[in-house]
Amino acid sequence: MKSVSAKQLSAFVTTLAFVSILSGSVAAQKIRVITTIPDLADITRQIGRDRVSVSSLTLGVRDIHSVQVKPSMVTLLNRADAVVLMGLTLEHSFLPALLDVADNPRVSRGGIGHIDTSTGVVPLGMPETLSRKGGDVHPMGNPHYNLDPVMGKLIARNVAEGLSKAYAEHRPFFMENLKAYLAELDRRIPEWQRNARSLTGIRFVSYHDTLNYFARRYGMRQFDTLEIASGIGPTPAHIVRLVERMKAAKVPLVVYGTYPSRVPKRVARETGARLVHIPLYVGGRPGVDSYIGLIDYLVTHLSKAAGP
Amino acid sequence: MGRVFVMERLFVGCLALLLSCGLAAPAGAEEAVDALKKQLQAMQEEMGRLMKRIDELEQKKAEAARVDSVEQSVKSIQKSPSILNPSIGASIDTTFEHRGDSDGEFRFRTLEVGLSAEIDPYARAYTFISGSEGGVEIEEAAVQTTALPVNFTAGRFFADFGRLGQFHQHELPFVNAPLSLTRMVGGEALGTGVQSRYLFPTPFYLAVTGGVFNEIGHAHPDGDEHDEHDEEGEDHDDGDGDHAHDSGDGSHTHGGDGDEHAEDDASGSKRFLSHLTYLGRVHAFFDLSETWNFEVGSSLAFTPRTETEEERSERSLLGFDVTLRHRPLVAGLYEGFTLAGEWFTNRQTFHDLGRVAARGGYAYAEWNLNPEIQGRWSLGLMLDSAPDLENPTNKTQSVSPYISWSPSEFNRLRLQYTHGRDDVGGAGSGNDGAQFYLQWTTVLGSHTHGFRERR
Repeated sequence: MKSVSAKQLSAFVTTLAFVSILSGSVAAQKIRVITTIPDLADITRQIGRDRVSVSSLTLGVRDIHSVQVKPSMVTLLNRADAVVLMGLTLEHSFLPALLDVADNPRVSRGGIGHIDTSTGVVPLGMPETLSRKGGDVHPMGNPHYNLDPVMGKLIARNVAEGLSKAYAEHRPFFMENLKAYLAELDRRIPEWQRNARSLTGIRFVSYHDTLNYFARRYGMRQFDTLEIASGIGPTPAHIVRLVERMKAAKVPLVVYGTYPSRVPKRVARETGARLVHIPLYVGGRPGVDSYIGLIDYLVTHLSKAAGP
Repeated sequence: MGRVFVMERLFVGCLALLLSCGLAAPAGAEEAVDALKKQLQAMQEEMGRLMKRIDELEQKKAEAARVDSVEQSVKSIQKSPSILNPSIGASIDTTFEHRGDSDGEFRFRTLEVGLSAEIDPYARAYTFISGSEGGVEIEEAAVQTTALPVNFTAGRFFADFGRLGQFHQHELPFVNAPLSLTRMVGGEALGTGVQSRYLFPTPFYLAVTGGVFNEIGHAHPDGDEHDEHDEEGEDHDDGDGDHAHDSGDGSHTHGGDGDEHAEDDASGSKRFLSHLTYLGRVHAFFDLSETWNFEVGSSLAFTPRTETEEERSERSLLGFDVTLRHRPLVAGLYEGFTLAGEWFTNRQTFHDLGRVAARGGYAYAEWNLNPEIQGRWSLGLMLDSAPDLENPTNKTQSVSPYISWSPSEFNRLRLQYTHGRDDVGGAGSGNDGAQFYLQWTTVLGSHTHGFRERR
């Protein structure tokens, strides 16, 4: 009985070793891509399909500005073949610190696997002065360009170019997938434009400066933010003044994303504005599991809230 | 868009030609030829215009590419405004303290200036220069490899020993380093030497560090000196540094150890590598769920032959650290719960006492609250038990509740009360001491502690 157990054990260990070696080699064939947000993970999957394995460092429900720096992220970055990031300092609170200790020059800034999707983005909200008086400022402009689907095309192009540069042998494959994905976006963009007609001219208050690119695309106008400055939470005095101004101006909409709901709910209640909890990234709300789904959700729910 | 436009124009032109051919056919042959010539001429002119238009578009495309490259260079300038200058940051830490029977006083604890930059594609360097009422000190000045699969750090820096020993004073969750950390590690785990870290290819984070240093933290001071401080209930209140405190009691200081060793050499004691401190650390991290994580580490600092003025002894310091964190999905870093602690065992051979093992440590719990309005709050409680290294039955134990308020990430106020008690000979008797602190800490410019001092 004892010898059988030993045999079983040795068989088990051998199988385990074999499976792990096999799974390791299967995984090794794929290009390991780490993205900072789930939107980039979805787009990278569309471009890389079965030739990439993709994971995102953050979840769509997380506030990207307060991501906890975790050693498990170092492990992921250490083994990554490429890292895809939004840039424009969106990830400045966690990514540079992680890359500093990841011991992987390939994905560090300047490395061939460091793919910044903001190339070609003309940023909104460039700060007039670089001072923390304006809060946790983004010196290169507002980084939330993922919420404009036309920028989504740019992201896809930058991902495809970045991957093709690092893996020239897969270029035709990536470019073919890019073409298909862009065609899908091109089909949806006019549709979203039609569906978002009711958003034109609608004023809104947002928790943080997150909806700016979406608002520009669909003609919405941001009245103010609940934060007093970027990354600096609201104060009672600010809320009182904001509520008065919103009432006077009849601002119809309050939106919030990855932030606590207490203040937005209070402001919406006191002003009579409609409150919409929006996803800021893929996975930010239940059912939003793709980039196209994210834009779909925003257009549908905001149009509904802005409608009669 | 340009291409589509060109195609449309061509199509219309061809259609017009065909129609005109069709219409002209019934008329006379000459007329038809003339008409065709005219049409052809018109077509050629149109083609010329279109080709010109194509050239214009190509030119624009090239211009756009140039704009892209300009944008890239603007971006790189924006990323590092002073391209070849290092990032510069500073922190100011100041307190109002009331300890024991003493009157309250204001203390300027530290101004810490940090500089960091990439040296070349293979290495980066950083330094922290710390100034306090006691003077100016180079806290850290180190160079790190960036292009090797195994990371090397050399210079003067925080050794990878334990957890809070690697935190700069202003980054600690409480006002002062726990006394157990000060006595057993020397406060900050600062050392001059070389260290290397390797990440295992495991599915979870598993890293091992090895290093060699002149010494880590402070050399162990004489216990008597500590006792004197303890009785006054002021041992961990030096505020501006364990450095000032320890240099005052005649023990080794971070900066002075090299010289002291040199003097020892001159007095005839012969050593080669046995006086150095050898460091080993294993460190693992587990994501228990999306919101809970657990970190555990074990460190060993071994010095085959420590030397003070009177004695030589072998010393080993074993540390064990655990951290359990909860960070809710929304509000992330600014809300949640941390339970952490470190336990140390110091084994050292003393001239007259023989081999003595001293055990001590601290634990703390901290709740981070984000009521959305009026900044972020944290409430905490720290328990500490610090033995006298030569006579471990003499302990100083303390309990410190504290509350911190941060109107922003770069600005923090903290109120702390510490009740300490000296337990002499394990009899539970001794002097009690109460201390109050009000601390204001601010950060200017670039703040680059990064991974090491993560929350």
